[in-house]
Amino acid sequence: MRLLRGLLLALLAFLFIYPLARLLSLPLLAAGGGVSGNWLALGNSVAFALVVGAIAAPAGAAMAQALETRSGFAVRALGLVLWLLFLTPGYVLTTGWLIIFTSPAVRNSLFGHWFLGAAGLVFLYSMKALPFAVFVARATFAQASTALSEAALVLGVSPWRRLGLNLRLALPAMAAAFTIAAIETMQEFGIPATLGVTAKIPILTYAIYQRLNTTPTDFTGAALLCWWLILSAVLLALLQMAVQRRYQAALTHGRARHGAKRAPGRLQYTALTFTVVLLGGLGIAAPLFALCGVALSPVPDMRNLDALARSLGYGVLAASLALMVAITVLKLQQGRSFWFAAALQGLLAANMAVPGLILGAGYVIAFNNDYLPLYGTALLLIIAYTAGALPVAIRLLGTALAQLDSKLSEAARIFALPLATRAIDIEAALLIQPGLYAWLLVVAAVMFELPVSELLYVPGQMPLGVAIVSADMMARYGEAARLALLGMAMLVGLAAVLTAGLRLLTNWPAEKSVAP
Amino acid sequence: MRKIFAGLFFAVIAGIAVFVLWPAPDSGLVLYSGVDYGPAVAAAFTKETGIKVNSVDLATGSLLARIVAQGQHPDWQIAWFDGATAAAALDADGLLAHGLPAPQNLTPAGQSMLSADGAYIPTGFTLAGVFIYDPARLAAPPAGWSNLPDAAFKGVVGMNDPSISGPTYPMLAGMLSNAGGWPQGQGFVQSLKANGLHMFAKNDATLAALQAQAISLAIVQSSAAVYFAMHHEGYKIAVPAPAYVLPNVMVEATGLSERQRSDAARFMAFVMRPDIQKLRQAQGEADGDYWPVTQDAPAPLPGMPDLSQIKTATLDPALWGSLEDQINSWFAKLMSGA
Repeated sequence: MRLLRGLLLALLAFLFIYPLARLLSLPLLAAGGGVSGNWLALGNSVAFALVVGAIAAPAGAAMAQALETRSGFAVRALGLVLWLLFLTPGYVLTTGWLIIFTSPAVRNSLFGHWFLGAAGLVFLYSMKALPFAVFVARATFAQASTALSEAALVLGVSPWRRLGLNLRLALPAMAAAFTIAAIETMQEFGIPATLGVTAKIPILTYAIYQRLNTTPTDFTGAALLCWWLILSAVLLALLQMAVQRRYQAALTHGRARHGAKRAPGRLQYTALTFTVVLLGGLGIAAPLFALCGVALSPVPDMRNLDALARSLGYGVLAASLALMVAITVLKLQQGRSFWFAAALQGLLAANMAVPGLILGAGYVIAFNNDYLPLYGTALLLIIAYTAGALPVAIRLLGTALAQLDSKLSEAARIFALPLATRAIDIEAALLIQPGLYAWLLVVAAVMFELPVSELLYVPGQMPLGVAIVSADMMARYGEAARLALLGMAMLVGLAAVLTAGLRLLTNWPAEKSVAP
Repeated sequence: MRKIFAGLFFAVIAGIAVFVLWPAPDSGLVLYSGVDYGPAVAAAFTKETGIKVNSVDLATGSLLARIVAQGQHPDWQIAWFDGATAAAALDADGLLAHGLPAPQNLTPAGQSMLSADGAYIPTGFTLAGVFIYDPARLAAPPAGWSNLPDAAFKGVVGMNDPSISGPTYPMLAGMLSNAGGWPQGQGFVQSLKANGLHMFAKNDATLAALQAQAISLAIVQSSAAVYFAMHHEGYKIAVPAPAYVLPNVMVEATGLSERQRSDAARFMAFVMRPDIQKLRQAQGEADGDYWPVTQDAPAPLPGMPDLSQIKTATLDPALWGSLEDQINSWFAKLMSGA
């Protein structure tokens, strides 16, 4: 067991620590940085992160509170819109808007000028950051007690005073929402890469990409910018921890009594409906209708259709590998080894703080030499996808696996059941539903993944994200729209088939006896 | 039954893994192509000789970045793109083989484009930057480069990003050269920026902006302008004086085996054959609108400007190639306001 744990840690270090160390050590070893011009990129990215955080924190906290405390159609619609925003890649939404702006009248309008600049970036960033902010803030409100509001009512505290108290109590949720929204915005690559405003408004993630994938190439400069990106995420996380520590106990505690969900009042219903229409209309419907409109019109020279099957294959492979490694990690973590659990948590936390762009940049440098000449191969791309997806896979499976009673496995061993029976008929049967959802989520994330794909794809074998953005860059919007919509349709089809298969499998008559 | 399903699932995953990761038996020559006719020519070469050529299409900026990133571990053998300056810059970094066979029957113009050490060969040329404009919104184009900063063109001119678009650095270098060289010409480019110059990724994006009326005049490669004007009514082309010659060049990676070098040499000769040049013109989309550099080549396609009426100039590839990184970095900072 000790050997297995050591080997697993070595594998994870090889996947995360080695490439990141190779990349991040470059500025420390180089004589000069030469990134003076990129203070603007850093400043812009920080400014956008703060603005989006400031928008997403109160909005996200308010929506999270509505989702946790109110019921009804508007609340369910809000939940659906947030999931759609969460699942749709930022660059696909941006492509939809670019299609809208191919109309000269719209492009040259005040709205067009406004959108194709800083305001458009803030809007698109906010749309992508809001679901994260809401999901994080929901955790706080889910545990909130009704005791305080009941006490305020009993004591006759004025509505404005109650609102103020509620706002103060919601601070931890808002801090968490602010942090996650700001970090997501700092690390977002697809939106600035697609919107085409980075020449006027430099953005940190795109500046890193430019240094790695356009001329002139500058690995040291890219590595220095990666440091800034990581440090900014760490600073934001520290800020959130400080707020969390200061205000945590006020809202959530062990004896919290949860109230039943209530129908919203008239004013709340109006506000909720307005929010759903705004988010659903501008965030989802407008760009998706634009994509559908262009996709249905004739496309004279449709290219890169093979990217769909290729990326689906990459997604399936990377998701399967990530889940297999995740299960191994979680199984080995169940022992009593403190150092293993601590090392693992450290590795995974570090990897989650590092966006795909930096991981991809690390792989470019680490695997392009005489000893490990993997750069430019599909193998490296799949390894990078797997490494990037691993923390999410562990988080998704960890909760499900923790609910499996260890006595089940012990009992199966006592009855001398074969390994295959224990693994497939007992553990897999119990884990298959969360496992399938985690697998599908990773397949979808890999299929539409952009930064790692841009940096590591095999020349001549474009993944889906690269094909869509390349089509965007050449104003071939029909092609981009078709690829995006077909990719989504394939994922929906895959999910439908596998979910139906799972239902069939779980309803299959149980085997009558199990041979010892 | 569950075991059968599990077995089937793993078999499917294994099948996908084999399909995705199985190495190609013999990939032959890998051609990094920044020109539209690359795949068609590669297919024709394979059909005739049986030598497989895997054409990899990339934007020239990405193509050059990949070559630099791979350094001494190239996974390409031949690259074909616009810009002798970029080839000279790669050569200065020691990334190119020398002594490539010069094409037969070169015209005097073609002879003048050969590199001294045989690091690249010309296969034709276009012009790095011409003006294409919408006469309905811009009555008269600039008379020349020096008129671009005039008030009449404030906020209506767009060009490509030289870090992504291959033909654009030579155009930018040409503008600088015309304005006194480097760094003396900086003031002229700064005045363009002050006059509201727009920048888009590549030829297609700049022309799409022209079509969407975001700009009224685009400075793009001549082939892109001619192709666009032929397929969209109402646009006119003006060629500034001087117009900067942009050779499309072919280069070879270092460290190839004898057999690969021999195959590469056959490919380089193949692309210059008259019948293959016709194929390049027919299958090359916008890039098919080039001027040949061999005496036995077919005539340029109809609709192209009359070269005898154009005042052309050629940049020193070694000089401007050595400045490419510096100028591109400076230009990116200028455009972003950093």
